[in-house]
Amino acid sequence: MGKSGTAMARERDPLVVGGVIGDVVDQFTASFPLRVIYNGREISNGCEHRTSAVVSPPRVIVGGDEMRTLFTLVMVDPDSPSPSNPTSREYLHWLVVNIPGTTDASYGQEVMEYDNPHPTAGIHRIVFVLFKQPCRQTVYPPGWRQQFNTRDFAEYNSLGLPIAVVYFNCQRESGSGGRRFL
Amino acid sequence: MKSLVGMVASNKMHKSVVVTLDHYFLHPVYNRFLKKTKRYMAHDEDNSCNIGDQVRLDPSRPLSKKKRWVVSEILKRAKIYTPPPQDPLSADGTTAPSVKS
Repeated sequence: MGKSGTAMARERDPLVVGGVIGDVVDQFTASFPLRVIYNGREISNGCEHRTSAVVSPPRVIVGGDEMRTLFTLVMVDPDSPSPSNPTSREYLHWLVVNIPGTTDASYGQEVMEYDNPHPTAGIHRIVFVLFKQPCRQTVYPPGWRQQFNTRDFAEYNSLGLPIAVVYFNCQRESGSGGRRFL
Repeated sequence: MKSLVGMVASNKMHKSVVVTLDHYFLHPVYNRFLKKTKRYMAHDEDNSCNIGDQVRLDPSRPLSKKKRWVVSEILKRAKIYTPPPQDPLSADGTTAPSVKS
């Protein structure tokens, strides 16, 4: 017989199809609007961007209805250095904490400054994860960007499950997605 | 996007297969059934697919330029003919003489 509506919806979820749920975060219920805009172009799950389009930090607009609620934004690459052999999973590109609701990421405290994605091989997923903070927090920057773990970070800082996730695919400027011979 | 079921047409690539899906439709003018074939490149992590296998494909993120599908399961294995092993002894039990050309 056919599958139930919820099973079909979960199957069609771009985060499940893209492997973001599983590789980066656990199954969660999206309960918050998160808009990420690069050079006037808003990203949606699974859209394509070249490295030249993501050089400068994006405008990340956090929704909500009151400024007293604080949020944490994490930007990671689970396919570093190559999707077939992601030994650096996850690579931390950006970490902003204490972002007030109804504002954007520029109002938050930048713990790790923006490092623009520059994939060398294959098509990389760049994932933005938004967490709701229980209170104002002091987050210390990790020692290095490689081998960052979003789940462990959320558990260590008592952030719980994410409330919004969005991702896009990024590949090098001259790439066609095919194999690169060095 | 839902799963697809098709036949493996090529497994020459490393960890990749080409899967064909046949679609029959009635031509509106000629009133004949025609066959259209679509080819999908899919990721086969274990290199376990053989030509003729019936497989189920699940959608995935872009894995390469043309790969957007993953082989989730092999539904039916193709029957591959393997010739019987050649007996080095002849009918009378003696070793067959080697023929030099």
